[in-house]
Amino acid sequence: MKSFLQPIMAILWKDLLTEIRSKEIITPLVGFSVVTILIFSMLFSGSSQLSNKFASSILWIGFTFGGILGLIKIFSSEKENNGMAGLSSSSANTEQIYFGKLISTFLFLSIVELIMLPVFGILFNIQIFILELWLITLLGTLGFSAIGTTFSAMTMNLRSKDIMLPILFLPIVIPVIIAAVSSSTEIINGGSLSEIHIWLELLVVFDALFILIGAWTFRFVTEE
Amino acid sequence: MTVTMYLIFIWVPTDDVLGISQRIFYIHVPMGILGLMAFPIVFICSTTYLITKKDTMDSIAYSAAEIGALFLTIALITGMLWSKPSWGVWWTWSPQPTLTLVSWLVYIAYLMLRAYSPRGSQGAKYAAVLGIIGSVNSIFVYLAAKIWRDVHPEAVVGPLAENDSLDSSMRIGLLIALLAFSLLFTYLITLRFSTRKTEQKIERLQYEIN
Amino acid sequence: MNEQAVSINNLNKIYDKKIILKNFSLKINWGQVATIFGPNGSGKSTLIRILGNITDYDQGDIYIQNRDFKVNNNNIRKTIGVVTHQTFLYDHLSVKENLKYYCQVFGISNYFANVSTAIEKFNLNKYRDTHVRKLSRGTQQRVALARATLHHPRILLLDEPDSGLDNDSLKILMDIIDQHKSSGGLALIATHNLEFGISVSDSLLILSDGQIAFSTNSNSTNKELFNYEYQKITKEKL
Repeated sequence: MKSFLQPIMAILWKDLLTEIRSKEIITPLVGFSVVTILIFSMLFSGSSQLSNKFASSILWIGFTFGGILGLIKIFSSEKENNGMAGLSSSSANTEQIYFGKLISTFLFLSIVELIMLPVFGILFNIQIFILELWLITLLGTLGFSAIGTTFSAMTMNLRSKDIMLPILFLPIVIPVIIAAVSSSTEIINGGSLSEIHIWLELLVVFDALFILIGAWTFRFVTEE
Repeated sequence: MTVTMYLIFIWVPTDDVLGISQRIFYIHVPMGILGLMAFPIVFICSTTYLITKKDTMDSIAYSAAEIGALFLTIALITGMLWSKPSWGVWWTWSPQPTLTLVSWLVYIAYLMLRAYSPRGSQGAKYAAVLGIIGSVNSIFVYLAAKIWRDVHPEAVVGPLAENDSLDSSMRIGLLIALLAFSLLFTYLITLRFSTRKTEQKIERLQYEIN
Repeated sequence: MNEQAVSINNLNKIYDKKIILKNFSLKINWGQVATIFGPNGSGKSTLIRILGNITDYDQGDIYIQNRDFKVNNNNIRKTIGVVTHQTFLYDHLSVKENLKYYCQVFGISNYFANVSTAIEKFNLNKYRDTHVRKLSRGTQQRVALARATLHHPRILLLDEPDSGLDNDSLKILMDIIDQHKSSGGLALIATHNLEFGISVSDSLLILSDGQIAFSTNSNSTNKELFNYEYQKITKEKL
């Protein structure tokens, strides 16, 4: 077990260290996402009823587009001197590489969420300290990362990757976005856990299935 | 095909409420169903390709995705043409149209990916991975759209809600149309498949000349 | 013991409509150093990348220690160290951090000792805490070599390992190859540097259009003859 985790942890440690030093992912992502929801909040200002209904949609729009920027960047450290090839040539399994990258993607996007949710709460005057809201957000982010890691690795080697990533990625995350937005809206408007359990189930199954598919297919997207 | 067209346009009785526009239904429904049927084909062939690396499997998946995209395009257009006179709107976000549109986007993404990735095995592997993810995803899209509508029931207007009210000759017409379009679907896939085989053969011959 | 260290049979690789390797076959034994020469685009780098598990191949078989390369390739990979044009290093990490990272990726538990020896061996002490992006090309190449030998692989695959190296570093590299050879290891080297290639290897190959155009044993041939063949094949390409 320890030997299985060692490469995964190494990848996570390396990504964190790179991020702390280069500040390429989290800072620009937070900036972009906050500006996006700021603009929406401005446009919807004065209609508090409307904003209650659309608040979580706006949060997830900001998060989705910010997330795409993050996904474009997440493999850039592997690209600079082709560290990805270094990993493929090592004795680490592709599954381990996938999990390592998945965890760091998930961590980065979660940190962005952590910063965005309070901003969101202030702008839309919404109580954000609800456990269910955080649970939904984390599950949504996990699904987002599971698919994002695969497509980010795939588009890394493509021509015009910056445009191909959203084209491949967006149709696939639609269920995650629908589930996250719909259940967050329910929770914000005072819904209980029993009303959203079907969404949570959908998210959990989605996450589990796509992590499995991602782990299996990762070797096909990283082989050159 | 001619028989089907005759049935669709002449033999089947005109719908009482919806009028003549309802006839587009016999094209729309088979196109939608068959367009989505391409997903299982893409899924099975892509998985097999990744395991066995047989080019044939990749070619079938590619052909199915192309024809799937074509059929769904027609389904979307006919759907809109039918929806406007029937419900007064071009588009509704009920589960079937949502699934059709998202699936269409996935097929387009698949075809674009093939165009933008290097020729040969690498592009094929990328496409196969997208094919697998896209096919599995379509189930989730449908579920999500369905739960969504269940939560907000005021918006439910789906073509399938109409199915119960079909009279028997309409049902027969639909079945025959479905059968005819299935044949067309299979024929087109085989056609694309054999074209692709020939392309590959030409490529291989070019290699040998060099 | 009838064990073939590396055996490549009828390898084919096509990339983006171009044939890179065409029915390529090669056998190398333990304790042997083989060097491939050849014009740019002749398939040298691709061959090394295929054996390094970076690039996939289309047809053919590779057996390493009589085991199929595609099956259970994890254990095989543990015995291989690769250097390519790209250094595989992370720009924002220091030399020590890079080496430690790759130790962990290779599943080496005692990474502290391995990193220290590697740094010592390639004379990198001065740079151990310098970020890789601030190093010169030659120093980066030395770190790349240190990285590839971290896990003491029995098979070394080196694609132009001499690029950017000054004479002192080249000396270190040649010593390491000699040591590797005498301890029963095997190396496959691709290079443009005839002097370097001939001096370190047992067998010499010239690759052209994905096939072996000329091959010889380095002690049975003289330099001039080989040089003549090399010039001829390279010129034909131009």
